[in-house]
Amino acid sequence: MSPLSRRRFLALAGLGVLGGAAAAAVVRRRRLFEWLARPSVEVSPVGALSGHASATLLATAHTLLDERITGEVYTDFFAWRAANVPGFRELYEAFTRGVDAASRRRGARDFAGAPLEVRRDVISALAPRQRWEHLTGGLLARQSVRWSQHVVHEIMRLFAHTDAWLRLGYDAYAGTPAGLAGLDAPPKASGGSA
Amino acid sequence: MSRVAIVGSGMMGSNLALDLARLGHDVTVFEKGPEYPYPHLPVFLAETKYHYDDPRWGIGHDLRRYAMTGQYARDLSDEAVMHVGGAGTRWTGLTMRMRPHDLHTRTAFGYGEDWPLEYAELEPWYCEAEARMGVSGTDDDNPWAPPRSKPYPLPPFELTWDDRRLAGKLERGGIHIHTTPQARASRDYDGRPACQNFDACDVCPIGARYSPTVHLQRAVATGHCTLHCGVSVRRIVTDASGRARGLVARANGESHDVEHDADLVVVAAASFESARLLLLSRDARHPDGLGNHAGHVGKHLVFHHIWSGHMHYREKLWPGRLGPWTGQSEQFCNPPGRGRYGGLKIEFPSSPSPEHMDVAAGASSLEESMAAFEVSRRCRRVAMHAESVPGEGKFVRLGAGEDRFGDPRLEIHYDLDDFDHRTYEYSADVFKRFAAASEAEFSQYREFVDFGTFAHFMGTCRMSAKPADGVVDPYGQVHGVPGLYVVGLSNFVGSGGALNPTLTGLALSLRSVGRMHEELRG
Repeated sequence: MSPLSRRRFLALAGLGVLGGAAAAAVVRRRRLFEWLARPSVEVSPVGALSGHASATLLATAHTLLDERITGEVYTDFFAWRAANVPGFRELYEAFTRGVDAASRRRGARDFAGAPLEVRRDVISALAPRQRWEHLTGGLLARQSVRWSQHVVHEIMRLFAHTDAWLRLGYDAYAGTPAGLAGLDAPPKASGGSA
Repeated sequence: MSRVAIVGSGMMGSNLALDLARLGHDVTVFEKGPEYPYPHLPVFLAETKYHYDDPRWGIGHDLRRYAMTGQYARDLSDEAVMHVGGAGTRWTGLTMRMRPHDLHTRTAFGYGEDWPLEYAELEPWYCEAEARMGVSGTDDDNPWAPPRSKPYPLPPFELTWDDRRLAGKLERGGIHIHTTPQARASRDYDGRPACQNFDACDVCPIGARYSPTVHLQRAVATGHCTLHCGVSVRRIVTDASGRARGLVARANGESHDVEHDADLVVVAAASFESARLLLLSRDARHPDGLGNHAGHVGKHLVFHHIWSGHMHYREKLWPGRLGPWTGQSEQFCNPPGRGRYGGLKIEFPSSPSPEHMDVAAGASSLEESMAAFEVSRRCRRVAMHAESVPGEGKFVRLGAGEDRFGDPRLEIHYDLDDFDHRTYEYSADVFKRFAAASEAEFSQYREFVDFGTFAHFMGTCRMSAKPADGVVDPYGQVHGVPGLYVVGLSNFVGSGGALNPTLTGLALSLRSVGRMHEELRG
């Protein structure tokens, strides 16, 4: 067997390195997507949420859903997270500054006081729609992706666990003490429908 | 006063701590994980209202990571619960007894191994365990219930409207649904309030669903029990005669070990950690680990396999209005073909499908969310809770990699076998029967390898009459190591049929207290 030439050796070594890197990338692809699509919250002190931030977050929930939602569920959620989970107070305040600035660029005084169309426009600009937008957003607009994940998505999740139950005809949603009476019939709120 | 060291503060450890402390022994409980509030109100609020998984109530990955090999697709590191109270703080409270024939599958059906124990020996301890946990139930509607000498401590949770609708349809197809015994107080009981239907049993905020922490707190209140949290027990120490005389532990944030002397050591650390501790405790006299003279530690691992499916209906059933479920069926626990395949217990999880909830929660508009959620009103889940048998491809052992302290990690290897395959086929047939009998418009059943375990891990330190056949005797005493007990589901011989194992684990543990007390009194 003839010995490897220097050029051939380097070429094979290069291929090996590239192959190894590609294999590692495949293994880590999922983790990379997680990192890009779900930016973590930067740790900062907990504390009370400002009234303006609270109003802005509630306005965001109204924008995403409608005015019939149970407002205190959402304001309580954001207040608790700001007061108890490091990083969230600052995240919510930064979100407020961000959507206020975006609203002002569209001619409104701030987000909470803006017309519904303006608020929808501001919020829709936050949320990636396609998978590739998650990736590019994760690199180029990381703060927006973070807000989308920790504000917009959380509002939708909260709705699915609370108001959505009531609107579908349940008498209560999980997490509220509904008692043991009346479970032998359909929910009262449903009008007894099956 | 005799000194008892208990490793693990879960269901078995907490109850043993209470009983031994009440008998006047000086008990020290070592818990690897952190404090966990009881009643679980702070956890309930964080998780249910604020969707927050607080890291203060968990443990670092470098202390809980297992190496997974084989066919089990999920990471069991995430299923093991490590904090005060253990998995008993996070369960749904289903408390079924094994059937007499579940203890003798070799004799009755020609597969597995027989337990060195008769149902009649266990029955009084089932009563004791039910009284301890405050089980609500009845056997009046369950023709397959095993014999009992005392009634349930509390009346049952009746079938909810949706379960009764389903039961009516299934009854016409020859399938019977009955109520589910559960450690959830239907009335005020032993200082615990009656269920108020928070519909979040795994983090019950008021203590209506039993958590062992209630009894651990009572143990500490006796003045004879001390709890050390955030402390990892690294090995058990034996003296020159081979008797256990204490343990070596290290606080998770410290860099030095502490030796703790004891007259009796009880390992109650669930199937994985209990086996690991015995293997880590090898010494000159026990080169393969304590209790492992015949090579049984870590062998005979077995899970319950939970295959689930969905059934969709034209009518709205309104699932999810009372905890995890009220109805189940034990009709298929002992099928005619048992031996060729295993038995099944059928559960009807009442909560809305997690898949539907995920879609609803991830929606980008109110309409999209409502549409996804709307489907769940017409859908019922079915969980086939299947028995399985140990085999060559199911075991735990010390593996590659080390934890924070340099101790080997545990490798969990789990391959499904032909018995499991046939049990799956049987479960799929039963599922089809359910769908047809209940006139489902559409149904879907999971694939063979797509199963969960509900954290039912058993058999790693199985009991045997003869030292050559297992790790512990029928009281949990480790063969060949006086002063050392291992208790809990690790003692199971096989999966104990298809029924939820926690009540049996507690009954076995309570039965051991008298033996431990005698040994301590000399």
